[in-house]
Amino acid sequence: MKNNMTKDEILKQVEEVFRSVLDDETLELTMETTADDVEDWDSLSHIQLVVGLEKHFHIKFNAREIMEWENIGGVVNSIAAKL
Amino acid sequence: MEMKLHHIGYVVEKIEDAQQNFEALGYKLAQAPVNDDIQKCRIGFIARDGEPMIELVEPYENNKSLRKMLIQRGNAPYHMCYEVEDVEALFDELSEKEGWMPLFRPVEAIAFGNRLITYFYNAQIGYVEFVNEK
Repeated sequence: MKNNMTKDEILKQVEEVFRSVLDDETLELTMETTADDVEDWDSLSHIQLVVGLEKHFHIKFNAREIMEWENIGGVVNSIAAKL
Repeated sequence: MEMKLHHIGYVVEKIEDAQQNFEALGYKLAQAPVNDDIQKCRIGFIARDGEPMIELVEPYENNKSLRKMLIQRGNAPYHMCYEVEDVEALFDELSEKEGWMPLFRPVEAIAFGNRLITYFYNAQIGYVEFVNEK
């Protein structure tokens, strides 16, 4: 994994993980997208998304981080800080 | 923190059908099903003397995650629930430990008389629920 990815590139890859986990190839994410905007993004799928993102980016999140995410921007920023 | 096994959670297509089949193993209805609109499930409990209960969880049609689990596994156990004295303190404690991912902060649950519950996921264990003692 390259460590000089831009946030736009990270967002694109996050979108791929979300599409795969939620089984929705039409899903489009922006930095402002929240769980309320994505029908299938509930507390159980949230964990599957976290696990999918950890595997994809070869990183680990802690509990505080995943509880503080308010939107996809928070997810992307967390990932960017670890790459 | 001290804890004791409170129940094993089963995801099921229809509570009454599962309950009827568990009766062959000596289980009896312990708590009639209630609708939990927050968890998007019908929830009922069955029990045998002196053993932790079994929670039968029938997801609403719009509960995509549990519906998906049902399709993948069929009716099956999917979490253990432990009763603890202070679920808020337990939440803070486990959140600091590596490998424990909270699904949500403690919330009141109608199936437990509005006692607080929370869920964690641990990749080595699976889903674990905690319910406040009082």
